[in-house]
Amino acid sequence: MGYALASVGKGLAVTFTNLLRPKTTLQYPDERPKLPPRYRGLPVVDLSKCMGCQLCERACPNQLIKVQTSRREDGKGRKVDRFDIDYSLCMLCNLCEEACVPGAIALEGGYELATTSRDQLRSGIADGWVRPGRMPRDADAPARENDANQLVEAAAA
Amino acid sequence: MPEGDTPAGMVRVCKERCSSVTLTSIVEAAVAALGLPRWVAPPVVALIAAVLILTFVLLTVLVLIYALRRILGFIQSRLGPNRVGPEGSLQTVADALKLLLKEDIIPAAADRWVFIVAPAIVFIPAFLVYVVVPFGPHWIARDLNIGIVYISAISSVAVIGIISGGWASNNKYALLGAMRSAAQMVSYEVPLVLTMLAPVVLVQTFSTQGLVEAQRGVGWFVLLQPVAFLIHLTASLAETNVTPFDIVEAESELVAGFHVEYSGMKFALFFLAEFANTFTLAAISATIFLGGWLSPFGIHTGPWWVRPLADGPHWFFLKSFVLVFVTMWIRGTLPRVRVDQLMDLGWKVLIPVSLVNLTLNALVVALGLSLWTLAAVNWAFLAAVVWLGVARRAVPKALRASK
Repeated sequence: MGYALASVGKGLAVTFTNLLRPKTTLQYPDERPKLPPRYRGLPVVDLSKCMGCQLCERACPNQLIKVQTSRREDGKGRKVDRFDIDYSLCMLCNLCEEACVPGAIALEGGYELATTSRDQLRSGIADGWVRPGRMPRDADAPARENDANQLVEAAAA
Repeated sequence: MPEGDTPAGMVRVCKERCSSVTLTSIVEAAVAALGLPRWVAPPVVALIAAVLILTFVLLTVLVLIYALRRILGFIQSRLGPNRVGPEGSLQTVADALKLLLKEDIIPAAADRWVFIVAPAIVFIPAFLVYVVVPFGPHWIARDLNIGIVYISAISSVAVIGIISGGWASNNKYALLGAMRSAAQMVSYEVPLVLTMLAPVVLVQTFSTQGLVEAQRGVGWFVLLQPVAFLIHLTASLAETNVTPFDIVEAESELVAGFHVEYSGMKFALFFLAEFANTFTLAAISATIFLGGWLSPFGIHTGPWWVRPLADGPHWFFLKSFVLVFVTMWIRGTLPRVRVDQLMDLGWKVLIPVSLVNLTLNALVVALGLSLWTLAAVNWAFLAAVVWLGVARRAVPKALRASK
């Protein structure tokens, strides 16, 4: 019983001092974690640097990057018409960033991706960037192949 | 009574002047004013006292559940609930509402009436014990002259409820949990009662109010009988299924023990009973060993600015809550014991030690020795038990030398 009392006493002392220490809980969303620079996040594309080589599209193992390009008026290289990333499938593997020659795509888009419907996870070009999150719906865009919503609607019809 | 050195067995029980305004007098006056017959007054007094105590128990349980979650969180370097209400204080209310609104499921093959009645059998004794708990100098529902016997008798009834709940659930794991719980509670009842008897032997009364009044002259019993206090605390932890003795409801091991099949209000009753028991045993420990409502400054009464330091129910609540905090503190510190270690501790350590403690105290009182002798004997006994624990090392000497 002597050792029991002594060891219990030591344990109680440790927990009591812990009671008074600052807590490690981060109260999200009021407090956000301080992420280090170059913390791997979601892919973000700077279209000013993109040259339309489509190497990222080929490198992606989930094939979630879809790039459509056309010839530029001045004939020097390609112009990017559509750059779609389906963030619901992205596993942050960094292969697109490694494949990109001019360094247009970078995995620095953070971790916050919660949306209320799945089609908000597919982002296109907005303001010269491709970013995760809600983006304006492109009403005139041509239908994408294998769009799940369209398949469902076709089956229901 | 001889003056000077008071023999241990003859502790004087002081009686204060009763104040003239009590609940009984108010109710009798009201009954007379309303023109009702005189026999209406006692049942009304009992009803009002029951309602007051029930309200107190429910509020205390509310506060205790919130306090437990916060304190455990703080010990574990995290915040507890802090969103619902200011600093999370309404969390228990939200939980209670949730439990009330849940579907009340009774398994098809369950023993229906026993299943329904079991939570009540567990809750009612937890609430009945408050009849003899002295909240203040004259704040006691009924100062039974067999108070301690009443407490141990009533708290044993809860075991029946637990076994009933486990059996009626028609679930072998619930039954196993119930059996374990019953074994645990029964085996720790013995040291609990034996240690409660140690001060009784000194004071020669079973009445709880008498025990508190006796500590006024003599000093708190924790200083006179430390072994009894420590064992009483340990046995209380085991009686209320608190870690380290919560093998019964070890959430990660036996799912939920005997109340696995219960949902909604019935589960809430079990839960309520558990927390009410925690406060009950803390209150009893505070009453018997820490002087109940007595002020530690020894001030009995005085002008209004001295009142906070004088005897009163606030000291009772403070002491009880301190003991409850210690319970939660221990809960956050110690790992769980195995069920065989639990029975080992109960039967092989606590019962012999509490028996010897009671025998020593009874001998000292029977021989008419002084209080200082009693205190010396008790502290020497504590030292002997500690030394015995140190001497009975777990690791043999040969192995230790090689480290």
